[in-house]
Amino acid sequence: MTVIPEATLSVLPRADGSARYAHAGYTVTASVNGPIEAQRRDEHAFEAHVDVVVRPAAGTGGTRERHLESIIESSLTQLILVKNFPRQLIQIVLQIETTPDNDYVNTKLVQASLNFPIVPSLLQAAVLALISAAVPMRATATASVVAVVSQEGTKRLVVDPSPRDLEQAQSVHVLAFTSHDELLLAESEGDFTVKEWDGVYEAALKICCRPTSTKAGIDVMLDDSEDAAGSDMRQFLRSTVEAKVAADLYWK
Amino acid sequence: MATETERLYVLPGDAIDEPLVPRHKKQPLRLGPGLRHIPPSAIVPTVAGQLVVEPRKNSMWMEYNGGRYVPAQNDLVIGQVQRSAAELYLVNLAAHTASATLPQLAFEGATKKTRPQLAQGALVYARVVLANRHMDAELECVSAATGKAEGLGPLTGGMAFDVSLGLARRLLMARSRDEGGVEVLELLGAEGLAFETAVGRNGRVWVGSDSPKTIVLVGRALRETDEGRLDVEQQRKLVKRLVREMR
Amino acid sequence: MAAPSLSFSRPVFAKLSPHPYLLRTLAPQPPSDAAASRTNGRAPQEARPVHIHTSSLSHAHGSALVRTGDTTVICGVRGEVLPVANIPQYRPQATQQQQDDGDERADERGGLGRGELKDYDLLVPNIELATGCAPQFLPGVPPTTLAQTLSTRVYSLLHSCRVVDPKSLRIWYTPPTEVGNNMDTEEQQRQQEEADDGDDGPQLVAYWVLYIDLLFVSLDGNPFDAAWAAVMAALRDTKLPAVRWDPDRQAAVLQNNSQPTTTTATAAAAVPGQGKNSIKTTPLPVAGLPVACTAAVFPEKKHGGESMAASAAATVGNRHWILLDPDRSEETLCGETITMVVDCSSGGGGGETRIKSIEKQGGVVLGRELIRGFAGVAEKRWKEVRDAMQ
Repeated sequence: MTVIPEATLSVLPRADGSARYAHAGYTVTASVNGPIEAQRRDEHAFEAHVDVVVRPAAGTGGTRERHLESIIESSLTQLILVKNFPRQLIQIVLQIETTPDNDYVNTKLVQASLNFPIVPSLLQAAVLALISAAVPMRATATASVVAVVSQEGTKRLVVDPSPRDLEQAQSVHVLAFTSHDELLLAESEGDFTVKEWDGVYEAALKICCRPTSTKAGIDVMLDDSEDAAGSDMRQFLRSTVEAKVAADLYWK
Repeated sequence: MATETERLYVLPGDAIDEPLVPRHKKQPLRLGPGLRHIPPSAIVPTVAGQLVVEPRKNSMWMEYNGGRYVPAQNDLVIGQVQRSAAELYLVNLAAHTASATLPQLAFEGATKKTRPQLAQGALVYARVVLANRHMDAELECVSAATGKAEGLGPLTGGMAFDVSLGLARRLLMARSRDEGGVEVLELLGAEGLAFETAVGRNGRVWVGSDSPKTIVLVGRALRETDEGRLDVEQQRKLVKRLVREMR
Repeated sequence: MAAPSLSFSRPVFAKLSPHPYLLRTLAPQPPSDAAASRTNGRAPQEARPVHIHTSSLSHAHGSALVRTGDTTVICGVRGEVLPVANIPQYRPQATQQQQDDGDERADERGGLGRGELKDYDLLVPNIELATGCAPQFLPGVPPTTLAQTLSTRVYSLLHSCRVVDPKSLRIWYTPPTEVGNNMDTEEQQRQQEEADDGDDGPQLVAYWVLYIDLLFVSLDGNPFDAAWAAVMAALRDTKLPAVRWDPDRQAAVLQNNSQPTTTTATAAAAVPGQGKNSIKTTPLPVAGLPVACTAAVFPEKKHGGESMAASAAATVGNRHWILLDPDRSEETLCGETITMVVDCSSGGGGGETRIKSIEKQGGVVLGRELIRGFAGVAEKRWKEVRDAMQ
């Protein structure tokens, strides 16, 4: 089950930058404001403080949201050129709007456990909103979630697993890569071996870092016909942003 | 519209091909906003936008819209006085940012006795003299070279409107109609409206006139041009419609 | 007056500019042939020894004190009885069926999905960073982000590793046709399974809820490894009292005396403290022994070097060190961290190492090869911790 991601940039007129991102049943709206004046206790003498706020679809945030925030923040701090804005604050608010419903279990409102599958949506929305806010960045990033599901003795990899897949998954992995093919984030839970993780890495790399060439301004997508399945996150990011930039520069 | 060359859109961190970087023999390479140099020779964009290369001036920059105003040296800005300190005014250039400083003597002909008294909330048109990431920006309302105001100073009466940074930049272009594709102010003037404007690079346009109606009309025209992304032809129609509605 | 001297003593240098100080000790200048070491005297991949002391709390069902260097954490496990009638979203069918045959299937399936443990919150970890355990913790403030993050991580790991089997937390009641009051829960259950036919079979009446409380007495870096080791040691130490369900009182009572234990006061009545010898207890079965291993990446360039220039620039300025088991001063200098949880206990040590969790964030140095290699480091650490537990 692969759903093509959808994104709209600059959806919120009042924020410096914003983006709405929908993928695999999750919808996240991100807003970015900054660089703005930081509160005294958040001030850092040499770099900008990146403040991430995750708001769940229902209820108020709890410990799980704090953990998601710390994951996203540590990743974004790597992408943003934080040293350009010492003593300032870059605030990113991520509002989760929809999550894929799990209709056969009575869901508790406040869940304490980790929610891996939402991390790529949060990260992607944040990156798009940062681009929309023209916050100087070192690189962009793409992320993906892969589950290892065991079925009749054989293990297979499921990209963007559904809640049903997750119930049966042996392990779930979130991997994010920068646009320079560096591993930015790797979060895994479940039960797996180094070898299995390698396989997951390969699969995620394929989704996040499919090579595109930007020679002379023409994006040529190297056509991997062997695995047409699975989305190409990097190409998606590029085309979304290019459409936005082109619309902004309508007067040129 | 411009279709002369292939447009080159880049994302932060993209590699820019070596041949694209202008190589001028004498002049040093000049990098505009949105680009940074990583030693030894890589030029890397830090924002998403269109890469513009000007081989004659041996310069390159990124063209993009949006974001928050970050002070840069020699920018003309419209600031709002927040409060006055002993020797200087603290001036706000964008909401929620650290205020810039404007020395009270940095006005035309100002001395200890004759310096202008600016109340809280007053608007000033100023130039950024000092923009440093580690310090608050510093402004002046007088040219240090000539000692003349050169159009800078307190803005009295009128009203300031917020526009996008992109539109402010286009309005400030020397030939804003041909290069920036914005003609709305000229068109309004041609309709016989009497008003004056000051454009701040920080996304503020001040409009002054004797008639409040005119001020509001000019402001609305600017906002609609900005939000509706109107081209020159649409701007004409807009101005016609607004002027008709007013009369 | 002599010119002011520009040489500082070691502690002053360390305090003034910690980054160059650590860098200098890790990369000694050519004349000195001292081996690379950290400011705390350890080799880059040397962890602090672990000391574990169990059963130190007299009023908990299981407890452990874990000390690695100056990080000290104490963990207490307390069981309380939760009658199913008090669970608002209780679904009897699902559990009853599972009890018959579904359980085995669910185990084989090995999913990460929710079960009774998650649905009814049978494991409740809570972490408190005591005031004064480290300078940044002030009195009278809400739980810090660190405390919240840690408790989420512990909670997730408890469930994803499935160290506690929900079966061992169930409390059964058999209608009085069968006389099985003197048997302990497991025997009772076994017999009930044999005699299971229709409505008269055993009923699931209550669960044990395990409150796992962690208190950091002092914190000198690497809180998660210590916290997790304390949770594991305390769970392995946990002995739940044998209880029987009294249908008249709708409460669980201790098996040996008929002293009623109300649902909330169970733990108090059943603590091993008073009447230790008179109360029958069963040790809580704990599956596997996952061990967390954390390292931080110390970059040569402060605040992260230019990733783009990594290929172009020379190796100078782009070196990094992986510091195992970082202390607090090292943590402040390192952005990127990795935590790997491994369990080598399956297959008698000869089997393949099972990884239970990887958390790598905050940087781009650790790529595929380094993470693969880190598995070996984590295995080594596993052996150290296992030895400390025994």
